[in-house]
Amino acid sequence: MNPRTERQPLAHHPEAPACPSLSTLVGQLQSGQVSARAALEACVARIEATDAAVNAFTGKRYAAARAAADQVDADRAQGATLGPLAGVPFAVKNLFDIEGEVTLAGSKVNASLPPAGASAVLVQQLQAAGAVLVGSLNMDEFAYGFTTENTHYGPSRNPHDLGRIAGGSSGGSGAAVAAGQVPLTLGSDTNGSIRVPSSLCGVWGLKPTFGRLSRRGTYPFVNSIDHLGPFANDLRGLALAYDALQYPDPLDPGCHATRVEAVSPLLHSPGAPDLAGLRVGVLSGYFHDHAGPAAREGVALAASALQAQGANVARGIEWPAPQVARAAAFIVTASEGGALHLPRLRTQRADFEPLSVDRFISGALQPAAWYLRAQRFRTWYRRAVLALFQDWDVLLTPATPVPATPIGTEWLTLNGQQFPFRPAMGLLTQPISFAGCPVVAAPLWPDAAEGLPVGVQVIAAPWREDLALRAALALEQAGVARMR
Amino acid sequence: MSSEPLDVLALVHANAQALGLDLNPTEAERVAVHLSRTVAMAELLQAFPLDDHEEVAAIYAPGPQP
Repeated sequence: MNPRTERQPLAHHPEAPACPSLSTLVGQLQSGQVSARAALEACVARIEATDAAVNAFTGKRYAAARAAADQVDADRAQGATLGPLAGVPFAVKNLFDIEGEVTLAGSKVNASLPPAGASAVLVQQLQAAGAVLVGSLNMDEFAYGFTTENTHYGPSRNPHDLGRIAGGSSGGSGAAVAAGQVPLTLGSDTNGSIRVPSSLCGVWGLKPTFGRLSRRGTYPFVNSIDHLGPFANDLRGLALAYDALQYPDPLDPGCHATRVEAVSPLLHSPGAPDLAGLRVGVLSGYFHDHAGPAAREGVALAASALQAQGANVARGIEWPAPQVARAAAFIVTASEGGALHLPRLRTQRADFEPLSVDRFISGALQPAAWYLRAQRFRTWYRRAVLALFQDWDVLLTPATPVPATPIGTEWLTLNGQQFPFRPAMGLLTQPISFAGCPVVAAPLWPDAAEGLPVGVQVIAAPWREDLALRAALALEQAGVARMR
Repeated sequence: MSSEPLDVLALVHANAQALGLDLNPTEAERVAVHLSRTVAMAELLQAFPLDDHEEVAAIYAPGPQP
């Protein structure tokens, strides 16, 4: 790792300070202490001051946002009941449909598509809660990457060191929150694309249970594994956003939720959450072997903090067949992603992202037997993972093997083994999302990371986001996990 | 898995032809590098014991039960 002195953190902009925490801003907006228009203009000023350096945004819609913010303020003036996120500025990864705009999904080839006729369900959910859409965010092309080194639109840069990656594929979503441009963003996560940028940018991220949130109106990558979820600059804000996003969608065949299960009321009692009796396990084996010193230190800090607050913490817990699960996730991803883009790979591949086009082609060429074996393994895997959670409420492991690396890194050496860098950033996230478990990515700052963040995955059993959020809140309140 | 080493480049050429992907030699070699990594993962997966009754995880549903 380069010494701290070589870092290029985002410059201070006292004239355009970072936005406050999401939960603080919600309180200010609800009370009328801050108007929606003022909150929006503060974010606009911050974006304009910082995005030339960060490159998080690919689209800005300030005029529409100002109209929406003014409507919130008019509603307040008339005494109308405000939504729970009324006036909160937010932005979305550019694979979310926005009515009237072209959904790029990080690509050049999609730029010629017609504008979306309606916004994605999750965008509509946030708008229905009163939130104000500011713009769209950079990503790896078609979500196939962990670095957001997008050749067409430029790399998103890590606000903690502009020479380093923001992570991906939702890199713009992580970088925008870390840069204080907006307090809330949306992203997608197939193999780690919320958790990796959360880890590298030092922000809070939630990958909910597979099938919890509607995916309708977003550009697909891998139907079998695609998840959507929020990023935020504090944990209570993350939970508020998650609650607003919930909507059992009968028109999305991938939405398995049958009811809304709000978590914010469970987290909003004053004081630290009661962790007495919470069974916490620290994953070992594969997850330890594929983590560097900073990532290991982060998990150790989190485990000790939860133990100090009354949780029963055990170390040395083995996750079932993680290496095989990662292989299966890799094969399903490559096959479905490659097959989805096959028509465009035949005719437009010169316009694809050079960093991922060969992987898309390779996936399209995979024998069907590999794919089917992976999907049959997944049935066995679900049973094994559910059985593990009979003994544990929450499991901990790093979100990335290492903190953010310099843009352009090609190889990762990890405990004596060399890996191609870009796929390796998903080593620790892929086995978890393949099981569909909910995960909060918590931002930690271990000494070994020398001033950079690295995330810890707080994992719960499917449909138990409440447990992961409760443990994550305890980490935030202990001061162990936080934004910087 | 065959006990013979897989000729990944030949697989790339054959499957690309079957799918109507006209790859030039340089492209095919680059793709073969990626597919070679996937071969190693597929071997890991094939070696994992699975009961014949284990079904694929994605189950088609004809529609909601009336």
